[in-house]
Amino acid sequence: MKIGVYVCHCGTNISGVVDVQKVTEYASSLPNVAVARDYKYMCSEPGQNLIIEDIKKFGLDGVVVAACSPTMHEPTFQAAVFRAGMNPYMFQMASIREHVSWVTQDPNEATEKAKRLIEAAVFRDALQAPLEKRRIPVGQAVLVVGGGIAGIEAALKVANAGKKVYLVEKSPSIGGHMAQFDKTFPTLDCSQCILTPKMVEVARNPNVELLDYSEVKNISGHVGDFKVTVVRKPRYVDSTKCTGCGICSTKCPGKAPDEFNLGMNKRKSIYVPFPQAVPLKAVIDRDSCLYFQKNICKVCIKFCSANAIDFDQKPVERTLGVGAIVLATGFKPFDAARAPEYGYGRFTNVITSLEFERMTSASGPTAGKIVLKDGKEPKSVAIIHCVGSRNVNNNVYCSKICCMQSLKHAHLLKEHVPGVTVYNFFIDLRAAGKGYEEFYRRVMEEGTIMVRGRPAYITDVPVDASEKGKLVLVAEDTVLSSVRRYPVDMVILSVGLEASDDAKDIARTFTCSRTADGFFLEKHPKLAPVATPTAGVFIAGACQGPKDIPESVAQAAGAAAEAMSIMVKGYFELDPYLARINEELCSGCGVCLNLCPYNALERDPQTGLSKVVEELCQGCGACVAGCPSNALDLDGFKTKQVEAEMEGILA
Amino acid sequence: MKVLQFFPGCSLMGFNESYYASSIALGKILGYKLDEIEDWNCCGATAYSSISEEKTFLAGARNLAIAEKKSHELTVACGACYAALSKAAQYYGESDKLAALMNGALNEVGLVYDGKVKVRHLLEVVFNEYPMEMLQSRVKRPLKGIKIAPYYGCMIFRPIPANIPHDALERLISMVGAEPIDFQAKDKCCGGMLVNNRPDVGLQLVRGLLSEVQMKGAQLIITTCPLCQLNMELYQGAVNKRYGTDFNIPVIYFTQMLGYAFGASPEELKLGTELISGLPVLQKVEVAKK
Repeated sequence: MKIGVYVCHCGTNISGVVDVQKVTEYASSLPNVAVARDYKYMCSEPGQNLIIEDIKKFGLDGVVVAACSPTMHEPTFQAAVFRAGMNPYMFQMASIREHVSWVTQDPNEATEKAKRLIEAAVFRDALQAPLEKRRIPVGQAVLVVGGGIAGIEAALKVANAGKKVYLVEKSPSIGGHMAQFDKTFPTLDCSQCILTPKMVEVARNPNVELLDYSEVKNISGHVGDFKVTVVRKPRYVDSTKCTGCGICSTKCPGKAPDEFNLGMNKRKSIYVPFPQAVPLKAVIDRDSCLYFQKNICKVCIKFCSANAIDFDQKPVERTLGVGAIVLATGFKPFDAARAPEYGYGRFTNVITSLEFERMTSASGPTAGKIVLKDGKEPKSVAIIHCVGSRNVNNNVYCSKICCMQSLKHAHLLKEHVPGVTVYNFFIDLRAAGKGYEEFYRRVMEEGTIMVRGRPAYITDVPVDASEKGKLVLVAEDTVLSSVRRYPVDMVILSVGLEASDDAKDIARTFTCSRTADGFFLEKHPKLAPVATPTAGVFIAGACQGPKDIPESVAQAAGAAAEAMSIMVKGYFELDPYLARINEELCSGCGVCLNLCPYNALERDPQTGLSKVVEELCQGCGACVAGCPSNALDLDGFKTKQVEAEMEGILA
Repeated sequence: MKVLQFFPGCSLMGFNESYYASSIALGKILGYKLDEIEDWNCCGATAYSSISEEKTFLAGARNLAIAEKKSHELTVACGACYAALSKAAQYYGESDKLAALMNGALNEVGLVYDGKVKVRHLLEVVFNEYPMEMLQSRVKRPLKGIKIAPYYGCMIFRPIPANIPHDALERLISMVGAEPIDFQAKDKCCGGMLVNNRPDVGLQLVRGLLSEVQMKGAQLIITTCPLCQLNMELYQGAVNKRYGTDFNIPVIYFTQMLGYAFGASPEELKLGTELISGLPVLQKVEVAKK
């Protein structure tokens, strides 16, 4: 075994503290070391050439570079040794910048520590074996889960690049929350006018297969070759025949709260979710349908000229093969009843921001009129920010969109109701975004009263004549340092964003993690914001955390690009770090099966022993540490290699 | 006879002795006996905590240590005592630093505390240990036709919530045949000591509570805390004077209401010793019945 050791000065980053000469001398005295050198910048072209020439000259079969962290330059040096004909996994790196010179002040201590780390790397390198990266072919289709704006955008980006997309949406229509909004901040674009063309486009795109009213049941396989089972729920209406004319709805006697309008009005038991729904097909709600509940009626069958009604429809299951997955499963608005101090559900004129959106929408339950429950226009309205957010009792995080949403609502109120008094109760105003602060200024100039303070509670108990019949907000104005009472007619609770109810199940199905607040966890908060720890599964939109429409769209495009980049290349390269089982030592106890977070271990039905599924193994080593018989080992991190490394440190 | 180790606190010995008397009288009917702990001291509430919160817990620690000698349960009737003692008991278990401080102070006076005492409010005992049907079977004077405001005060639910549902008083009121009002402010602050040093703030809080009670037509307020009783009753005059209101609503203890419904005499329950007597409201029911 011949090893070359190269100690980097990194300008003065390392050599300013570590005595590089002494370290190099020490390295040359270590067993198996054929040559040891130091150089100002090992990562530079001449530095790399130095290594390449030595490999040829001395016939080296191992190389150790003592420089920065391997996350910085390991790929650089692996590529260099590869150019000289050496297997890149015969290379080992000692981090004497991040782990030594940057964090150690005493030069003697730093020099000693550098020696230890180099010795560890040399000992380890001597026991390393050549390994080959694994290549996995990638299927040329993408699964997008969730048909809100993020899912639609991701699907369109992939489809327009010529790849197949399966877009799965659990409700009868795509569109998500954005379809429910009236205007978007800060430009006041009509939300539906900018969304519906995209909804139509995605449904028409020949590369997109829209699986509406469907849910992912389970998934197997791995990056490049996922097998996804999707269940399509019965609409009890044949989508291929239904023309979306709506005659069935007008004749249907059954009624239920309208989900699209948040239950502010009723819809029929057979219904099209909203006028711009995609697909524009009717669906029957079993729970309120007279046929399903009482076996009577069937009026819809009588009136459907397309013969589309089919009470015998059953759930349909199918399996899709895809190379990559984009999760865009969205959020759920905070349930305002969980902030009981504001009396949502008790006071009829306390409404949520989403209900207000439906109220201002021309197609909403009040046809765009802003009215109190008695039908009168409000003379004064209070908007409370941060409901359910920035609060240890509910969610500690900032929901990010509520400030701008509240300002937008203040503007819409002034526009719809002449002379209305509008209060905005905020903690801090967060208007960071293009044109956002300008919008804030505009809203203030329109006369909206901004009060810095979170209302303590809302009461309908008057203490004087001015409060009779009003909702009274009791709040500390923290600018004035005084507690005041604000009587108003209507209160809008600007509710925050929470992880959707099924986020837990989705995370389990797709093996992705969640943060403490329930949103999906990205692989790296800064450098891999749309990737997940599971290769080939990407996330976009509010399922990753609260965000507004522009951010969701940008993230969706990013996730689409990630999916494309593994698909276009045609294969996916994995580190060769694989768990191996020594069948002679394995007792078949099965401990490892439960430890593996990637389901990469299974019991061989013939031998009864554990078996590694190489395609799924991510090389985490959990099984190796857990095996009571020491029957497991990890390529690239073999027990004897790690032990040798420790010996080097302790020598 | 169930024996409840009991910490009366200063209020029950002084101006709120009707609470103590009615708690004892209720025990005679339901079958519990209040066993006052020996040589108790201030629970630590009020003045201490605003100067040194740690001292609050030291005062509490002594009471807990004395109680622990006999039993692991300590019942209190006063909301402030409940909050101060249950905080001391809970924080003892949660903070090593505080536990060391408490143990050190106890050592000085030759006491030890092992962290075993569970502090309970009397309402918890009455509500949880006697089935509603059993209570109902004891009702001799149904309070039909009167509206009662259930007022818990702020301390029974926070920071350490007593083990009762948020409508325990409402259910007791319904059980004796009266009608509870939907009292939104039922766990809001009564003003505490602020009625003295910041009447502009304290009296406003009292007014807010009384306004809702009056608006919702309750003729009587029942409460679980002596300080609440004091503020809500004693300061009605001051509130009327300051805000031009016309409040005249009696405030009694839940123990008095239950005791009366169960047939105890007003004298036993010290009913009628209030500044605004609760008796006329209660007796009106009987007159109507006859």
